[in-house]
Amino acid sequence: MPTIGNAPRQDPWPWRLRALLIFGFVIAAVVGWASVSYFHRDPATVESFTPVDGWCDAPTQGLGVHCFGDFGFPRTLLGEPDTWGVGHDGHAPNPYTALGMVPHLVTKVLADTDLGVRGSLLIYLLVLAAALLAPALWIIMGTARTWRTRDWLPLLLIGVASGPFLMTMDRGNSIGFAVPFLLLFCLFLRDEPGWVAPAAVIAAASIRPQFVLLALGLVAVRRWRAALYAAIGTVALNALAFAVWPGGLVGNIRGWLSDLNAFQSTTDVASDNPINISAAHAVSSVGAWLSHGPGVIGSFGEGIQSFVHDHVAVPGLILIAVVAVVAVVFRGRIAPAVIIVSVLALPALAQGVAYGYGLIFALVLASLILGQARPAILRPGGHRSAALFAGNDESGGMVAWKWTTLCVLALSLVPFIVSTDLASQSAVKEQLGLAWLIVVVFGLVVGVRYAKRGDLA
Amino acid sequence: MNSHLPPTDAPWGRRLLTLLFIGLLVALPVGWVSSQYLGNQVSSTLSYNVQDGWCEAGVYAGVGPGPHCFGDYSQSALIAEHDFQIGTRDFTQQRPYLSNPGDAYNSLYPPISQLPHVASDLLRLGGVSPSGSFYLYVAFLLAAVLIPGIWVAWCWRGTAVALAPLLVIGLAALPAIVAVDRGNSAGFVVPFLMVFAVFLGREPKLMAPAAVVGAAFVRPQFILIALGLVAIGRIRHALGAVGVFAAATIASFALMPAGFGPSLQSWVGNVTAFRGGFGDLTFSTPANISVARALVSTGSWVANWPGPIGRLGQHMAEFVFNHPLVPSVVLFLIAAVVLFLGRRTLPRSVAITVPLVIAATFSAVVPAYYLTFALVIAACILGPRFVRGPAGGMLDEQVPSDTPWFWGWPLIIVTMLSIAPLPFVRDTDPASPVQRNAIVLEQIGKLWLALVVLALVWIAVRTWRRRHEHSQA
Repeated sequence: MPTIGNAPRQDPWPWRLRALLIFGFVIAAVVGWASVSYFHRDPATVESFTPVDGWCDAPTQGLGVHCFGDFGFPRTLLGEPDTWGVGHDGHAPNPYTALGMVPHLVTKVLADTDLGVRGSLLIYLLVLAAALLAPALWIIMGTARTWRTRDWLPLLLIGVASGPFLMTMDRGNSIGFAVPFLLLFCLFLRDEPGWVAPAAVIAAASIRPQFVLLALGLVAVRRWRAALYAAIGTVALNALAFAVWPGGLVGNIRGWLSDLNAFQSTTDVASDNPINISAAHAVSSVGAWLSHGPGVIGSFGEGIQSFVHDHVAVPGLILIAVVAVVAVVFRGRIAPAVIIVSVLALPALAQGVAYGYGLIFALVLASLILGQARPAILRPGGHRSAALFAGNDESGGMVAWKWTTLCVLALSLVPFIVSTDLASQSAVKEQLGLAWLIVVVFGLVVGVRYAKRGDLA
Repeated sequence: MNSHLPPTDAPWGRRLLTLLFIGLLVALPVGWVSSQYLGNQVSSTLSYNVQDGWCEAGVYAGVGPGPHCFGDYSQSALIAEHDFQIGTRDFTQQRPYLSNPGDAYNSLYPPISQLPHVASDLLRLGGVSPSGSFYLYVAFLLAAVLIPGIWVAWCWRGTAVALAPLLVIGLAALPAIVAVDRGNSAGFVVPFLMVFAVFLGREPKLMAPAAVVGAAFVRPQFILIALGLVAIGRIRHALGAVGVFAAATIASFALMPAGFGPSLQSWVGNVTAFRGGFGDLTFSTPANISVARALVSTGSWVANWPGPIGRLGQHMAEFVFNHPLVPSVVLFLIAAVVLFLGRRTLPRSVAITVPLVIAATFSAVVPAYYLTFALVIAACILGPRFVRGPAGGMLDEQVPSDTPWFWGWPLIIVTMLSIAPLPFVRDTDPASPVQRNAIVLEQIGKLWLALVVLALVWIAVRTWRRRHEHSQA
């Protein structure tokens, strides 16, 4: 029987993810209509942020009432004497590195031409959309037999209709530019040419420094040298950018660290609004649940909450350490699926505050599970290779982990417009950080078990 | 033969699926920007004012905290309560109630069409809570409008896109959304239309005529889909369907508490006096997809042209305005003649599409939820032509396909435009008391009319040529 994409009997996981996503979107369509039409919920507020974000003169520079705040905010800092170290006295801190400011610098230059702010915004959004759609386009290129038989469904499911796409575009957040590099990193993690994966890490980390953690994936597949190059390249490039930025290397880095620290405090780690998908928030949520328990359990929960509140970076650091130890000790023996899921989720989980657009890694992960063939431009001859979850390791633990990952992935991608009150964000996404933390830890446990079994064999 | 082949093996099915995806891909960002940044009420744009003003009716009040009361459900439930004398409500004190409580019969539809509302009223008055009876009603309504999507999904089972129809011609489809949003029982016609389309010209032979009768019981104008039976040469089945429907409809008035004569007389008065709930045919909103509205709108537009063309447009608009059913009757008669002359040689897509469009757009005022017929057409293009038949929808049924581009492309484009919830909207019309509908929704009636005219011209020419060739041979 001819099929589009993956034949269910060869690899059932792409079909399962598709089914979960379509089912999710069907539910989301009904829930979204009722929620918006009958209960006055605001999709932008629930999924992203309030539309009236106030970072520009909306009538002349924005679209309607909207300013695409994360596009507008960095622009306000360009040309100011202090790009960093401004996160005091009620000012918004600037968590971006000098390299991370480059897209905004480019749009500023464009805005100073005849294009104006709106023209530069349009170009910025188009490039951002293209970057966010890269995983979906990769699947479409990879699974098609010819142009006439393209399967366009991924463009909807892990593209335009997905929660991470909507939020990143709504905010105009430049984190979306990292998506193609995350995809390249995963595709070339164990593949030739060897320079692509470390280069992708450097490129992604240039946009957001936390993506340097992807280098742990290179360690896990025994590519020590590539990991080292990635780390050194990231540090060197960022340092260079800080050095050439007005203000000098030391002053700029000091200001950036100060702002980074201030940024972590902009949101209470215990709060569900705005959505925080960090491990710190996940642990704090667990503490909050336990605190309702009796006696010692309640006190323990309160203790966890209090500790995380005072040491917001610690849960993320512990998680990094655990992943690093597993990557080093079991290098070359961990299932590739576990490595990729862990290192993709790690940059978002490891931060103290990680807003909803941190879920962009879900777009890449979904494409790796759905996609079957390499695109011809990456591998001349259109060599076909298996999708991420294909394989013979289909016994209990691994299957359970794959199902868990699929469910959490679907919840991350489908925009359920459901909130407890008008000002709140998505009730479904509030605990996604915890869900991803469970996926990563569960994956590491299963991966280690399989690695040990391989040792015994 | 295995029926669930993927749509990629059927060119027209694949094209429509691609167009439907493109429609959703456009609709989502446009809807987001329109609602979130530009302040438009997208849900009202695609259907009707969310705040529909029926919460005080006491039928649905207290069910939900929102301002929406599924107005058509509330209104029809009250009418059924009045006409069937269920309960003890004093309709002279009832607000809102748009009909005249003093009349014997208030519904626009015959008694049998009120069955869903009678059932929900009886449930409500029999002890089931207002919310319980409403949710039961809306669950059946939802199931009915999802039938085309479920059917295609079933036919595509085992393929990677198996569940996609549930989205693109199901819950994300505009006609399904509007029907459920209004709670209008017209949605119950969909399963009958689906059976009609699937079994037209197939065994068992009585399924299609039975579906015609079933559809006409839900809304009487759907008796006109008997034209489809004429198109495949089953004249006796068509006459039989009309006869059964007429007899059952007239007989059902005998069951009315107010008596046969007064109820029937009152119903005829309601039908002939009906001009829509919001004035006349010159209104753009709420969207009216009727033949009459298409001609009035076109005539008004042409009236702005200079000279005799302008005067012709004005005359046309005025004539249709004063005689709104005449164009529908004329179109029906022309279609009947053309389909009769071309019977047994017609492409299946014409035999299904033309009767569906003529029936759905026949009345003077045809709200957007009647576009549910487009879901049936989409299902017939996407799905296999028969449950156990060869692969390919109704445009792909012959290999090589004899569907010409000038029929296939307009059909799938208009079908897509009817189904994709495209929320492009003009400025609010100050003359209208309600939120203006989407541009596509306001214009879609014209497109369907043009499509039917195109089909009839094509079939007439084709039939004439065949007869000419036959006589020469």
